[in-house]
Order: sequence, then C-alpha cells, then structure tokens
Amino acid sequence: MSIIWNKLIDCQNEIIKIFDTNATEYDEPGLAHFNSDTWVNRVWANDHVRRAHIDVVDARDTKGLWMMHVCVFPVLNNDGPIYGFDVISGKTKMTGAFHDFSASSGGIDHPMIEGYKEAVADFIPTKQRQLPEWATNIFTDKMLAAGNVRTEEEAVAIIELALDNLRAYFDEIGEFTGNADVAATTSAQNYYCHNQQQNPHTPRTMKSLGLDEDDVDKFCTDMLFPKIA
Amino acid sequence: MSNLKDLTWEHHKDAERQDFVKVLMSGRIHPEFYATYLWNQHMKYDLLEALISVTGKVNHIPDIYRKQYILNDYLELWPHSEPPQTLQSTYDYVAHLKNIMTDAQALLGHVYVLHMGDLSGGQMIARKAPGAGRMYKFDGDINETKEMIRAVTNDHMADEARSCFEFSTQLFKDLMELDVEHYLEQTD
Repeated sequence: MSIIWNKLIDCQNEIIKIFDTNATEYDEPGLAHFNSDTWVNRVWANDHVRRAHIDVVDARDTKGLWMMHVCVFPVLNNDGPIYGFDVISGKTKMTGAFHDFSASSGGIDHPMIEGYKEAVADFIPTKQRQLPEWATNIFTDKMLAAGNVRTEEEAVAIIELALDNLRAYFDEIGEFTGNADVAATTSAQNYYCHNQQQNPHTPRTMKSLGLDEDDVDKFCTDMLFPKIA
Repeated sequence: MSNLKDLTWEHHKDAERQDFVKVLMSGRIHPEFYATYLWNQHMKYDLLEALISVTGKVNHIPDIYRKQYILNDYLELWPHSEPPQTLQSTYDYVAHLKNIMTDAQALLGHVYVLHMGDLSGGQMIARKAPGAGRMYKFDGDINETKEMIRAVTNDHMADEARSCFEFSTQLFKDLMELDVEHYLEQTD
C-alpha cells in the first residue's frame, strides 16, 4: 500500500476523465503495440486539440516504480501552448515531477502561458535548477521541476496543480483556434518534439522500468513526441 | 543565376581546412569516431528537414531528405547501447534553428550548404568513409538534384549559408577536441 501511488492512480483516472469530457478518444495507428497490462497509451482529440496523450508505465510490482507522461498539443491553426506533465514515483516518494505550458507559435508571452505562470508561482523556487539545453530551448522559465517529493501534502499539491491547469487548458484553448499560421505552428510543435526527443532520461527511465529496449526506442521517436511530417 | 557559391566561398574553404576533414578524407577514419559525427549530423538534419518540409520548398526534389539515411549509417557503425556525445555546436545549431524556424529563405540557406554538400563533396566522402554511406546516395541524377536546389536558392540566403558553414566548422573543431581513443583505424 502506498499513499503516493494511490494519489497518482487517482490522478491518472482524473486525467482520463478530463480527456473523456472534453475530447474524443481515437485509435492512433501503431499505438496498440504499446499497450499491455502494465503499459497504457491512449490519445484523444477535439476541434482545438489535435493530440492529448496519456502514457502510464506501472512497474510497481517488478521495479517499485510508477511513471506517467501527459502531453497535449493544440490543433495547427491554434497558437496556444503545449501542456506537459510527467511524473515518476517510487512507493514512498515522487522521484521527479515536471509540468509546463510550453510555447508553440504563440510564443512565450501567450496569454495561456501568462495564466500558467500565475498558477504555478507559489510552487517555483526562486533559484531554479540548471536545465540542459534541450530543455531550455522549449520550457518556460517557470517550468515546475520537483524532485524527491516525500510528503503526501506536497505530492497532492503538485497533482492538484497539474489537474487544475489541465482543466483550465481545455477551458481556454478553444479561444485561440483560427488565429495561428499552420506552418508556423507545425514548425513550433516540431521544434518542441525534436528537443523532447533529445532528453536522454526518457528512454533510459523507460528501459529501467523493464520495457523492451527496441520498443522504447521506437516509442520515444514515433509515439511519445511524433513530429508532423 | 545564384552566386551563392562565390558568396560563401571563404566560409566553405574554412570548413574544409579543418583537421577533422583531413581525418575524414584519409580513408582511415575510425568507424566509431565517424559514427559520432553522423549522430550529430542526424540531430541537425532531423530538425532542419522537419522545418523545411513544412514550407514545401524542397518537397518536389526527389530523395532530398537525408535524416533516415544518416540514422541508418550511424546505427550500422555505432556498437554501443548509449549514443555518442552530442556536441555543443550541435546544441547551438538547434538553438539557432529556433530563430529561423518559420523563415523558408533562411532554412533554404542551410539546405544549400548541407544537402548540396552531400551531393558535391559528399560524393568523395562516400568513397572514403566507413560503412554503407547511404546518406550520400541519391535516387535521382546528382546533377539534376543539384540544379533543383540551385533553382530554389538565391543570393539573399548567403548570410544563413555562411552561418551554416560556421556551425559545420565548429562541429569539426568540437569533434577533434573529443577525448576519443582513436581518430583513425589502427592498421597493425
């Protein structure tokens, strides 16, 4: 029994509920291969969001770890930001939690990013940790990056923040559909994906959870952050 | 008629004068060292081609996109599970592309340097480099493909083309500063 794991599984269920309420789940070609008893990958879309993805690896029994990745991309004529929330947690502590509204073609001054920065202001330490270059290329200067979260209180606060921001994201994203150049948004989202693909921790972590190495490599390139051809 | 070749000549020659190019053209470059170069090149091409494809400016040129070939060449030669080091000049290049990601003219300046380079000097490198060298093989006629690139480029792209040469020069310098055991294949 783990309080943090229970909270995270409640969070997973709530995210699926938010996606179900606001969008329609669809079958993405190739994604079925990356679903099993312990690995969940599902995607949704609506008129304003082209891809809302949840990826959960449940390795509690085998590795004592649970991981979730959530990413929401707006449609290509929408200049709104990209929603991201990633968590990896052991039984007694969240070893990492990352959350951001990352700029797309609307840039870093987009109103939704301003709103995000206000929402996370109380969670961001004055002295931010040094991020690698691939991360600074795409994340805002107010990205939430928490490590070694041991208390239930802090874990719940991060989860609630990410959920509140996801609800706000779906409430607001539609306001920006139709005001973006498709080519500019495509380039910006491809730039985001390219840099995310440079994160060496993603495949390492997934492999450490016991997933097949070839599957992980293919998943990270084709499914986790797919570029638009 | 484009004068890009003349306008970028000095930067082109500066890149060619680098020690890495001498190692590359020796015919004895160590496969893992060459794979490190390919890994960094792949990262550059991967993003550049994703961005230029959106503009539609080169999509009509047969077999122009090289990133998958570079990746395959790299995978053929790299024996380790962890990838090689990504070099600072590669990070700088990716950061630079952020500034021009929606500027088709600027992106074409990079296509002129990198892809035209594969069609030109790349054909000589193919005979010297280890592995299949698939990145230098094009489905279409080499001269026709070069002409198609010339047709979409112009003198206004010279600044970005020079900038691209500078990034390549820095990549070559970064490679030679790597603490690798062997730059060249051992003959004994």
